[in-house]
Amino acid sequence: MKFKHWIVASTMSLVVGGLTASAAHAQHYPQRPVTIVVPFAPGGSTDALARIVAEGLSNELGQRVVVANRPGAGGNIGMTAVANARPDGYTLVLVSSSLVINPSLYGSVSYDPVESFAPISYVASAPSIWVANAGIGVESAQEMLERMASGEMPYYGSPGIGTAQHLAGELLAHYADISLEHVPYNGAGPAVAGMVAGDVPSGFSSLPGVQSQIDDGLLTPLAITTLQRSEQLPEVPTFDEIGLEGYEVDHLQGLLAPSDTPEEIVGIIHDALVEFMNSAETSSRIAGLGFVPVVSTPREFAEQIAEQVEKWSEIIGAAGISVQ
Amino acid sequence: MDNLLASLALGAGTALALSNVLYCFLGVMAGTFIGVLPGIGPLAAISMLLPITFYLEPAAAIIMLAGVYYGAEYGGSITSILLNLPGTTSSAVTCLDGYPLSQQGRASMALFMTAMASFLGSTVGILAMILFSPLLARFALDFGPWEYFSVMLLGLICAAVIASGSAIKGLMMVALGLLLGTVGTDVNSGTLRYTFGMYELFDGIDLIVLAMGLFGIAEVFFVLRHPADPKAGVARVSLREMLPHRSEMRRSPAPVLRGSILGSLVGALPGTGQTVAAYLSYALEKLVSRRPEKFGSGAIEGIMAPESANNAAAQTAFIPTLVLGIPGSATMALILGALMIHGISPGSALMNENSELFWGLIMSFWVGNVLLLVLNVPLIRIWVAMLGIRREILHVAIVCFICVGVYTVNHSPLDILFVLAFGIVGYAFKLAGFQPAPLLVGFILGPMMEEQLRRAMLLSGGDLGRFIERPISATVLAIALALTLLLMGRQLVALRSRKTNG
Amino acid sequence: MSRPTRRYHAEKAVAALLLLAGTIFSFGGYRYGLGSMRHWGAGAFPFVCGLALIVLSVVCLCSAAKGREAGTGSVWRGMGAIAAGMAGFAAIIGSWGLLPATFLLASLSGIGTGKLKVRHILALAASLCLLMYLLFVILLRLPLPIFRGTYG
Repeated sequence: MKFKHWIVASTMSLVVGGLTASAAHAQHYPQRPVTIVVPFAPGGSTDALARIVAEGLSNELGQRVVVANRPGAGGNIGMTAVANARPDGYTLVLVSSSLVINPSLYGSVSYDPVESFAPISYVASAPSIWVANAGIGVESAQEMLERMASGEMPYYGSPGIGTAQHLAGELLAHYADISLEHVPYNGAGPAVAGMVAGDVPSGFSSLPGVQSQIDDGLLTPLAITTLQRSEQLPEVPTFDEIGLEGYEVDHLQGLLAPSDTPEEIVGIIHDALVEFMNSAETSSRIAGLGFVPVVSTPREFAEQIAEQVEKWSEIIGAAGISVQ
Repeated sequence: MDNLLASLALGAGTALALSNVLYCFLGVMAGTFIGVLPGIGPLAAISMLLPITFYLEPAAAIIMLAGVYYGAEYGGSITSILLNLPGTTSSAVTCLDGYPLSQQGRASMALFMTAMASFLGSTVGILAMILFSPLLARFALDFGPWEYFSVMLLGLICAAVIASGSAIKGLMMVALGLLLGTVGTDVNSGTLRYTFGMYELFDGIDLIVLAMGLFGIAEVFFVLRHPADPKAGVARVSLREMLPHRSEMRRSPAPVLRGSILGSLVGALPGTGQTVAAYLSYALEKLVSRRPEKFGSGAIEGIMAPESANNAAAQTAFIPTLVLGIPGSATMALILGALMIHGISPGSALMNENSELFWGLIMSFWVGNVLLLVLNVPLIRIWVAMLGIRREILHVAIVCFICVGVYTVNHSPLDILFVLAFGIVGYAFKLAGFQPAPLLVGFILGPMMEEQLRRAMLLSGGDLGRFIERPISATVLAIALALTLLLMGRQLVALRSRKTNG
Repeated sequence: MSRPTRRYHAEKAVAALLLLAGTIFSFGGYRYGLGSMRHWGAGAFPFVCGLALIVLSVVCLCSAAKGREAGTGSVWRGMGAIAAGMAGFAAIIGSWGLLPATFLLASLSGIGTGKLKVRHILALAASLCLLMYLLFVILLRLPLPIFRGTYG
């Protein structure tokens, strides 16, 4: 009898102690530097965004927030590392849309985009834009579509296989029911170079990557991939508007923690993020990279992720793209 | 012309503002330092400095980041000369003649002359930027995959020129480099090649890992065999010792000129880069030299040309970035990103509306190079003093720096094991008389060449004729053909004379 | 001491190794698909280069000349120690951090040189640890754990 009471008492005290300890932990979070993992090599826009976020969070949380690059396998190495990291709030990851694209693209990955992470917030979204080389004399998306359908210029360039821009092109072929020839480049810079030089008649790119070329008349903007028109280029129609209803490709960037990270800690990070994202300075810096700053609650973000995983799985399956 | 002078004056005003000079100084110092350290390179350094620049004026920010970029070209050659360990991949060629010079006790001369070559190369590059930016930008646009392929093919043939000693062995190394370059995800089809299921190889073998293993660890292993060479460590560092012999002085200006011009042209092409420029200029020197057999054992041309070329290329790399908004490399992409974070768009907007920044940046390049020269020459004594450290201690330190440096890049322990593996292989190569430099050339050029070739074939619908129809491509291919015939001819002559003699 | 055939052996060994490499790459290349003229397969380029390497290696094997190569001492001990150090570094840096890993690496490498006294090796290892810390963690502010998860 006594023994049984003893067991119950000690178990309960352990449980209570554990709860208060984690709560206490959350109260004192962060007690040491926090790491944001970027699953890409330094120099990309996700990396630059992460550094802006790290800087902002440092100021808000009062602790150093550093960026660690863990590139490789299209982002899988970094994302897997954080999925398996300790859920204590000291290791976070800033992902791009590869989080929701890779599982379908690679056939199998070592993390689950929905189960392995505790989403914190959407940080930015980024439209892609369809542009044409100015020298070929095409003025509008419809014209380009006609030319492509007639088999005249079936090529389009993208920064690489499996990138959001590549998938945008595949989606276009799918929706418009024409057959296109994908010309992959090794990164955004070379892709834009190819479009400007006229090696490929048209291509997809992130907005800031081609803004100056559009302004200088080297490239002609044709259509935007998001459902809303871009603020920087309000005269450019969306794909949805020009007749491909429902067409949407949005490059999401978001901050996540490993799953099982205590809710209080997620909340602390989220609030700090919202706080600094609201400042005008931050907005303009992020806009400079070509992103549209966005925030959301953890739940909203989780829903978005689940939706996008579904959507990309369908598209990639239908287009038959894979990396293996 | 008036307009130009006015622009330069405007730029000088910005560049010489005290705070900008300060940030320029910080940038080039950091750059040199980063160039010396193995593993970490200008790309990582600029990423880390990025948030700091948020609190600076745009001009100061970009001036500082640019300083890190071209400053690294100065630092990279230091370890190449002193330790046969390239600090940046573009300085790998400098090892070929720089290290032998160092072993002959003339390290300070080599360091001094490379500093001069770097400075002169940068100056030519900056002049090219000032006078020919629009022209070079258009020139870059004329390059499609056909042209890039032809240039890279030419570069590969040059790799055969670079190797001293047996041509067969040199070619074998190039071929192996080409093959190692295919490991990873194929750009054109997404297929994973030769990764054997290893996640870490999805993006291919890391260049730094390969270079540190083949050059660094292999060298440490190799030197274990040979007892200390008394001459190598002792290097007197008076000013006289830094100056070259009279004959060497006479043979210096031409390589610098050729290297700078070549580097300026190659650097302006997005998609080639400083390393290619350095290799091409070394090969060019060896081809036009009257005593090619001296290359590889301390020929002054062998360090002057590539060092001018890579610095000139580092400067003109800004042309496609600033004028067209097209970054030629990941580092340039980051600098472009920094510009845009500060709300500045490249292209004609930059040149016309932000001309103060544009010209200020260009003038700051010159200021930076002057600072680099002024800083690095006195430092030569300190660098050379490093050679006086007992060999064994130096080697332990090198091994540690390589391991830590490589780890900081990817935080991947597997990288360290790869470095070790390449070190063992590299040691075997050295023992057997195979040189690592051609392997590196093949490794760097191979994937680029393949990518361009396949893209060219895709875009021309399988038609090979396009390579000859396009004028630039045709010209370059003709040169490559002539070069191949020349090399084969030389081999035949050598073979024949060997037969008649023995 | 002159060993007339060491270089010859090494040359033959390396050429054989490269022959093997060329074969592996060619084989793999063929399996990845050679494609068509317009759509070159992923295996086309490695296949061709692999063949080239095979040919060159055969030529090299046949023409390897016996040369004279002067060299002293056995390197196996040194290489083994350095290799162990590097493997150890790779093994423990993730969990134990920068300083223990560097200390291990420096100590084993020092032993490997075969020419340093034990107390010198320990002093060298300690000072290299300090140097790495100052350089990479303090100066460059890199996110490296210095000891079991704590950061600078």
